[in-house]
Amino acid sequence: MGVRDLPIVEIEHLAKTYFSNSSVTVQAVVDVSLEVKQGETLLISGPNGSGKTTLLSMIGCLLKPYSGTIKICGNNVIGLSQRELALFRLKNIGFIFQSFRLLDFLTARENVELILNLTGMGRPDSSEKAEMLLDEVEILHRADFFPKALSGGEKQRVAIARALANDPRLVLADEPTGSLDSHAGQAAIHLLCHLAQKRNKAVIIVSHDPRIRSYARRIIHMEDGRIKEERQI
Amino acid sequence: MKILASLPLARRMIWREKARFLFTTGGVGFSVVLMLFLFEVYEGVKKGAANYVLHSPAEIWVCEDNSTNLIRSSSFLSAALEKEMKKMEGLENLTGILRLLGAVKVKGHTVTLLLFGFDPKSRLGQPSPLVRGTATIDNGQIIVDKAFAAKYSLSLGDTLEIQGNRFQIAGICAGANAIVTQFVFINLKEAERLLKFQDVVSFYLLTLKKDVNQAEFIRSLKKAIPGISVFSKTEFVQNNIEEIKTGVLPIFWTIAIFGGAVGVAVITLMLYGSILEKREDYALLKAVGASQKYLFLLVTRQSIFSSSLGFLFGLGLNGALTPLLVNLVPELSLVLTFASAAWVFVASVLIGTAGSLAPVRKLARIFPMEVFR
Repeated sequence: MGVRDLPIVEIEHLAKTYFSNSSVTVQAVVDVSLEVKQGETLLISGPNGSGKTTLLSMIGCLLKPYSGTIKICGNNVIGLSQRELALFRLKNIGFIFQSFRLLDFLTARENVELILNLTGMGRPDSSEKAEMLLDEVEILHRADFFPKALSGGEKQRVAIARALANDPRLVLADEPTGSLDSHAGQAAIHLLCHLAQKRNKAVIIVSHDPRIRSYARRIIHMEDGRIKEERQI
Repeated sequence: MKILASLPLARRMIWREKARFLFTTGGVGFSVVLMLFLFEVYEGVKKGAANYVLHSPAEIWVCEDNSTNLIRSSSFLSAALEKEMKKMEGLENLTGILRLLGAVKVKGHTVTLLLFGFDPKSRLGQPSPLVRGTATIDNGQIIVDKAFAAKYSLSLGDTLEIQGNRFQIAGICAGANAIVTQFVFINLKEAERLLKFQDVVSFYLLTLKKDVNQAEFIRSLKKAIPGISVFSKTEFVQNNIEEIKTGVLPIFWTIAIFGGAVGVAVITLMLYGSILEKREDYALLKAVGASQKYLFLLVTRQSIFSSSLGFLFGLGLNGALTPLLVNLVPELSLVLTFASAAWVFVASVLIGTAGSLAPVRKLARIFPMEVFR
């Protein structure tokens, strides 16, 4: 098995069911099995309520599945405690969100630095590495600006740098172009996929945006919590 | 080390909500002012209760058996004891003072004061330090405390009435203010006349010759004269302070605990609201891998930082208010000690810690998945 064939995400028969007080159950994800290899970019598409974000949350170790197994980087994460999961996410997973989720009281540089500090890297090393990452996403000149002074495209670049700061093996992006105009969205997704490829990261993107299809090696389409279609590109 | 070298996240989180931070600091500051004020009053009362004894040159205080202090105990000794005590080996000097509660009429008010009759010829019973006038008073003259004088705008030459007798103020002293009451001083003979008993004193004040062992002298005195209590100056000072402590400490503690609880409530409310408003930020921190411990410390640091600044604000406010208060209420004797300030600081840190408990519980219930909202 070559390095590029190394499975980063292995999911088998994954299901998530929400129970409410009125005994109504919602099956958000039903019997999903998939595998994502190192360096691979997977696009998950589907209508609202199809279970895309729930699936992404489970892969990101943010949500426990009802049944099935999840292995990330060869580790079965189902049995891990909350404390172990937090540490696991910190070491192995980078997140990008539709609404950027930058902390508004930190500058662009500090938003990236925060992740490095959490991994145990102190200042000034964390500042230097944050600058290096911001340079890679071509936003270094805005490093000392607070998020409110940045455009949507700039914020998403900072978010990409933050997602890559802990050198994760898996990057999860939830509608990364959802809050951007077409030009900024295209640029952000290009940058994300380019950097991920360069660093041999596995990337899973949840999006409705058809422009992202050209960057994905594989696309799965979800409906009613199930994978309806899977295409290799 | 990891924490020291990382971003000052807690401080930044506080600064971004300046109004909330100011209200929190102000709220804690006011409870700090209350606690400092109580400490100051307590120290003032202690000082007032012990000052007269402390400033007297007397080394030994003798009172009736079972009597322990100046303020709240009854003591009557026969003047005949003086002769017996004078026979004691090692005695240098002694004087008797008579203490009684007196209703004093001053400028249309009737005030109950502790009236001390002393022999002006002896330094032992004289009030000290004297601010104005003389301690060598004659019949018809009186020495009052400066807080009492300030409260009723009295000065030298003004008169007071006690049991129909007029006394002219001949001296104003300091340190005779126990807040709940003040001491006034008259001639011993006149005090006897007011008491309507002759040849009675409340306490004997003694000094010893050089090189006389005080403990041994006290033992001999107790043996020679039964039915008396004999205390060294240090013991008698302590007795007076203890008497005040048992009277006021429970009340002060109760008020201080309420003050602290208000501080805790202010911090809890503000921090709880902040976590609810910024729950997505906390969800993000959880999602990217911040541990519960890290987040709990983050909240606790915000809380302790706010309460510590609240302490500084309270300390400053207290410093500004104290002169105004003393001016408004002259009998208030406020004494701020380093130990009191240190205790209140410790209380502030505890307020901060306690104030973070409920917010931390709320934080524990924020799910990292909320970051996808």
